[in-house]
Amino acid sequence: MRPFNNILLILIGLSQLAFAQQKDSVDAKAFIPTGIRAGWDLVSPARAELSNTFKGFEASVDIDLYRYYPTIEIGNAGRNYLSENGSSYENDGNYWRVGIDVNFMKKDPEKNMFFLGARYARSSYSEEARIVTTDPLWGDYDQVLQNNNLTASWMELTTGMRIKVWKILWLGYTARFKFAKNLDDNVNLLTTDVPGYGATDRPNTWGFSYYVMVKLPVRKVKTGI
Amino acid sequence: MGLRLTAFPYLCQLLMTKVRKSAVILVLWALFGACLDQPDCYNLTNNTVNISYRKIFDGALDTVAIESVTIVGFDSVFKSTNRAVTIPLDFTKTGVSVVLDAVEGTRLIDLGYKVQPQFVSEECGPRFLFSELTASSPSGDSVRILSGTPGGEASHVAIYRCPRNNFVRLAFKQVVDEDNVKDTVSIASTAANFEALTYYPISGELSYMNLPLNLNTTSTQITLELSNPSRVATLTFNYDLVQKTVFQVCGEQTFIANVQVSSDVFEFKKIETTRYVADSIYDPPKINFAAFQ
Repeated sequence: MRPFNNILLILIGLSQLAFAQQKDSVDAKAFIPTGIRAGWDLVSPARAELSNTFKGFEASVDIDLYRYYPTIEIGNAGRNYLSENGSSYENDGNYWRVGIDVNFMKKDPEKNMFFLGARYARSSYSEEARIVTTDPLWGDYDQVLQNNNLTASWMELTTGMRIKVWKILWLGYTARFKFAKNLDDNVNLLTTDVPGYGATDRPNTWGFSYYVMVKLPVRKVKTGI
Repeated sequence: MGLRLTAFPYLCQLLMTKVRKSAVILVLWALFGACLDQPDCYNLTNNTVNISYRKIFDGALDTVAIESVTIVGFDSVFKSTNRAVTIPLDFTKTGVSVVLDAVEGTRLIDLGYKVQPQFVSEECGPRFLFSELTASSPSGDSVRILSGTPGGEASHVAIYRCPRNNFVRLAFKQVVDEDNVKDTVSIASTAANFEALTYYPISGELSYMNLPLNLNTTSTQITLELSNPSRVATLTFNYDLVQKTVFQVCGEQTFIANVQVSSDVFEFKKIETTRYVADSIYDPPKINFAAFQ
């Protein structure tokens, strides 16, 4: 329950920050969504192209409720490492994140966004490693170890932008500070990388997504001032 | 109002320009950061356990004359000092048995642990993470886990030595202006009338001595060869022997009570405080008698 408590606190904090800036009363109609926005991450395929150890994709969907944007992100990621001494590691898994972004450009007629937000994230993955080592005292060690159907969870603080480029086409990025990771460590092989989170060797890490998005309108919005 | 309306689109455009620029910088930073985000390869496996010796009476570090440290099944002899030994853990098993050979006897310590391999990176290769350290002593010593995670400089296992129950301490004093002040005595050698393991310090310019008493009889004779001036002092200790269990792990031990001492060279005065009595034995030793020439 602790991650849920964390996200609740963060959301309450963001809401208070947003309401503190709100001087005018808000029409209830403003909370009716103007559209559903779906995005495709460009960083994941770029990373896969630049590095032969990574593959993956990520998509996002959000919806506007006045200045609040409930968001769902889903993805798949895999790693494939080979060390010089013959040790190797590979994993593959799916992940999702759910949270909310708060837009601080509330008066922008195009509903462009500069936002702060929070996420709760969860990953399901399997991994396999071949561990090879030679020790002068204890001798040679060469074993293949597997973990199947593991889960991990973590929290994220996010910030970023969303900009309307042309009609229904949007671009935007999200920078993420990932923390409070929770792994199953009662396993024969310790996890090296969690799909969606990244390397597990540090308690906190960061991430970056750059989305090309399409917004499907559900109601007409007044534009102009 | 008019100024506000015309300024708003300008500010938005300015902000959007900055946003686009910052997005490019962030993408480059993300790709560059991915290259730098590699773990250090140094000292990744935490497979060392430090075992320290402590006195069961007060928990303070103890000095033990170690002759060798070995692991059952292996020929290698491992690093040790008089106060601690460092043992490497076997990542192919979940336990090792350590043999500590000391002047006072041999101790056997069984160490158990959890070991989990992990692939670290292409540059570093794999590592083994040790945790949940346990320790027991088939030889009957009191052992305690101080830290359950091996690795680093800290002490992980403490071996608590049962009390040494046969050392009496003398402090050499002299009378100056009716006050008893510290004196030093030049001692060339020390001998006991039984086979004692250790007694220290044994020679030199000494202000105090810890002398062993024989636990098999109620009397012990210690011979001190003094120099400057050269002469021999014979110290005779008489005492009672009492059987009692002070620490359960140590079982019933023989303790000394009602110690009396006499000598042909020294005169003695009992030293008593509110916390200690002169005619009993403590570990570490407390001053039982002041010796005046």
